[in-house]
Amino acid sequence: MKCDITKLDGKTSGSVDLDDAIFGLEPRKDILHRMVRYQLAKRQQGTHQVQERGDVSKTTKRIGKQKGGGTARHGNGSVSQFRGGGKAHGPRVRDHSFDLPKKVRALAMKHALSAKAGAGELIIVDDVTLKAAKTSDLVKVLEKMGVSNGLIVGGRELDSNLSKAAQNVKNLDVLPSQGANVYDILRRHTLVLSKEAVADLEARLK
Amino acid sequence: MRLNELADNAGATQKPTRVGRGIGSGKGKTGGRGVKGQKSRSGVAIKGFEGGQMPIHMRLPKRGFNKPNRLKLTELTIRRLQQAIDAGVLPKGELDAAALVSAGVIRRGLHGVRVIGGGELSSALKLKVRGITKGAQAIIEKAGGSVQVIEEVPAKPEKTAKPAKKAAKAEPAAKKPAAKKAPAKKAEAKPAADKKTPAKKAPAKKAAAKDGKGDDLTKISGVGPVFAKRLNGEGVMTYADIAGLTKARIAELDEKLDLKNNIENDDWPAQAKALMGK
Repeated sequence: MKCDITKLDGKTSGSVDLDDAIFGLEPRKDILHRMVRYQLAKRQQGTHQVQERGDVSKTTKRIGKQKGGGTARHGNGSVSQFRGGGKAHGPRVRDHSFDLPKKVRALAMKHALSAKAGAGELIIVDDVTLKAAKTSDLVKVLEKMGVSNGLIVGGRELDSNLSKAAQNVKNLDVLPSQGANVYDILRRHTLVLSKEAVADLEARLK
Repeated sequence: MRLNELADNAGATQKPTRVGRGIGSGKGKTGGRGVKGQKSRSGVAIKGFEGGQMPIHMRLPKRGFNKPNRLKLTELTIRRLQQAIDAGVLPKGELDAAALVSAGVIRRGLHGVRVIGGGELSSALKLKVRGITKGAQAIIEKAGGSVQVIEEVPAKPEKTAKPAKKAAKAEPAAKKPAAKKAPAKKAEAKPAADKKTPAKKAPAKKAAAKDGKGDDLTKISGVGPVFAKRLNGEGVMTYADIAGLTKARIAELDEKLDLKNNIENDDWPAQAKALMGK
């Protein structure tokens, strides 16, 4: 698949041949769905906890007698139906992640790139560097490229000017090529890849 | 494709059953774990108990019965036959119950095989079965095959062990009826047997009479062991005897043996002729 290479000022400068096995697939939303769920579940901290019956500090002395009290029988104040009692089946600290085969994860990445390429939301630029760490400069560049909501993937080392300039731009993410992932790609509308990033991704997904 | 457009395939995940969450779930009260106590034991008749009142299953009269010798036929669909053809397991030539069992098309023959419709057939088959539906017959004949419907139950293997003993026993028994009564027909048959000289007429009759017992008359539909014995008592020993019965003789036998016109109704002479041919 041929794709034009643009410069940051909006002019084209040659073209690049994209691998159809990575950028030319018919996107499968079930695989993408599973991958996104995998990522979100894996990143969940799971540090949620409440006090259950055993955790609540209450006296273990019997409340009233078993018989003859005239009210309901109760043994312990920490039970869930009492004020101040523990929570029944509350959240516990746990790991929410689940397994997804590596091959499926790699396939999901291909489908995510293909989805962007197929929808015409993929822009390839020769180089993503800025002369100065100025947000206003970057905003102008983005306007020229027609990117209002996007992800920029650079090479293995990001230009520090670019990452600084992008910090306060709304709806814009910047990632190095090894940080590119399905969730972040699908989260933003336009995907901007540098030439270096394309080479890196193709090597990774071969 | 955006995050909100993602979805897994329909049916990829199944929601777990929530046990013990109300009657409507169907797994409410005992949560699929059954009951405790007396009702959990085996052999408890508490189910039909109505508090001491005569329960409904005892109040109503008995009705119906189960026929102990019901004819049990193995059903065989045309579709299954086609599968066997596709798999290449059907032997060539005539297909009877034994052949179908050994080919693995049916598990066991029971009293016989009944072919029923459903599906299509690609090649011509020659079937020898106990029964067939009209539709199935049409399908088989359309494919160029043929069906032979056998009437009687195939002989059980245990019979092969017995004849030697029976033949020895039957020798004196055969003489008795000859001595007792000699109606015209039997008189003819007996001397031939006694002399053991080759008679040119009715060689089948003679050969059968030679080993004393005669043919196995129970193979005729309508003749059981009891009737066979009675017929033997009247001197009718072989298929040839039956095939050669005159109308007057039939009437006489009918009267004497209380056969209720079964000879004519089931057409024994014709059956006997068919059996003689085998």
